[in-house]
Amino acid sequence: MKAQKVIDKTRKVMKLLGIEEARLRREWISASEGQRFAEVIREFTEDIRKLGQSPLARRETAA
Amino acid sequence: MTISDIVDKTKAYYCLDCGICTGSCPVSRVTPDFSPRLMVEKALIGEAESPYDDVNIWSCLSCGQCSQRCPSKIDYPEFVRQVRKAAVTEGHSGVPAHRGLFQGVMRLQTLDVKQNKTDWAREAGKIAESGDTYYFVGCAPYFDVEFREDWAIDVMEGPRGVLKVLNAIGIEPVVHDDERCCGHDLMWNGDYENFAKLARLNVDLIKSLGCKRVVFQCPEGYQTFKKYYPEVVGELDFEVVHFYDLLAKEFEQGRFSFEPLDGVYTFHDPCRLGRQAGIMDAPRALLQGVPGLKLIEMEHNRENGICCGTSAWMSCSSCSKEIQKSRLREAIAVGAGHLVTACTKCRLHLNCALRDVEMDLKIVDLNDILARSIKV
Repeated sequence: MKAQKVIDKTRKVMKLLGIEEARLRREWISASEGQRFAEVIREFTEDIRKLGQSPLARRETAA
Repeated sequence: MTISDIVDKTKAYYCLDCGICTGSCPVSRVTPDFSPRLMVEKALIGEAESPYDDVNIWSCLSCGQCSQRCPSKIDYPEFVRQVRKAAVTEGHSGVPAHRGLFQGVMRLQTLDVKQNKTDWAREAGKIAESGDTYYFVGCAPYFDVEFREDWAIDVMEGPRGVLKVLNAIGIEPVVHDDERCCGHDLMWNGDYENFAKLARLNVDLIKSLGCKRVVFQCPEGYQTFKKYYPEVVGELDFEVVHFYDLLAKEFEQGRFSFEPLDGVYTFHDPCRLGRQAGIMDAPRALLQGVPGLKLIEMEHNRENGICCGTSAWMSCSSCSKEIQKSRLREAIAVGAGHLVTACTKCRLHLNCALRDVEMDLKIVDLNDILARSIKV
């Protein structure tokens, strides 16, 4: 419940800041579901890669 | 800046050791360990080995009650602001409230964000792409995320009220997605570097839009632009106007009136708006202009108004709660049924305390009252 609330708020803040929704994902995975965990993370990583680097990751030092 | 530079800059050496600052301080009243007088004294006699280690430097509300009464006119909030700025460069910091959510958002706004925060304005009224008047909304859309569901407070009532009233008197202001936080909180948190970045981004935005005046309702935004932005960007080439000043002038000229509203109301002066910006008559004139509304004053009002208990989303504690509850008791003591606030944060902070006590008191937003009863 608490996690859900934090996720909901984070999503709203991300929307206001103009950060793509797909950069945040919530999944319920039990400790015994190793395979599923790996699948989800692989998929999530792939999704993020497609989105490319966030403008927020561009720090001044990199400019 | 060393502590002796800060003493020189704020003329703290004029301290007469009279203690009126500590006697006036709302924090000292609840937490005797905190003493503005002692802090200045320590800096003057050079007793503190590292003055920036002192946790008390983060407890000041920068409400300015002490300076207002100081016979030597020492600018104590300025002293604290400089000490915090120096403390942060030495790696110290205060304790942020609300898990640091707002400071996080404010720091992200220093980067290349493409915000999406003006949908509410298009729904509530009319806004323009360009024009002479810019309405600086401030951080309310972000605060709304934190408080709407948890506390059942519609933070956006404030900005919606302002926009509706501006529209009613014939102004369609520019409201922009690229607007950043004014930097007030980061500055008072001691994070001057990021405050300066936000200041430059905001001034550049308004310049690029070609707006001639910027209207603020948020007392912190108003005061930060007016008093502290010139420190970063030099003199501003647009006018900084407070919404209530603008409105009171129009009201005086008979441009609009109000529908009647029943009840006994009292006005809580936000420290940035009242004591610091000196805007105390305009909100009262507007409230008194509402037929049927009875406005009464609490024991501490105008330049003696008590702070809402916490400032810059930092150091919220049981001391803050005590200050807030005593403020609510003042409203009850004079028989007010409604406590009117003119600052989003005052409204939230006083509501936070109201959740813990049983009091027959409603905390209402001045802009919401004005928007509901304005008649053109």
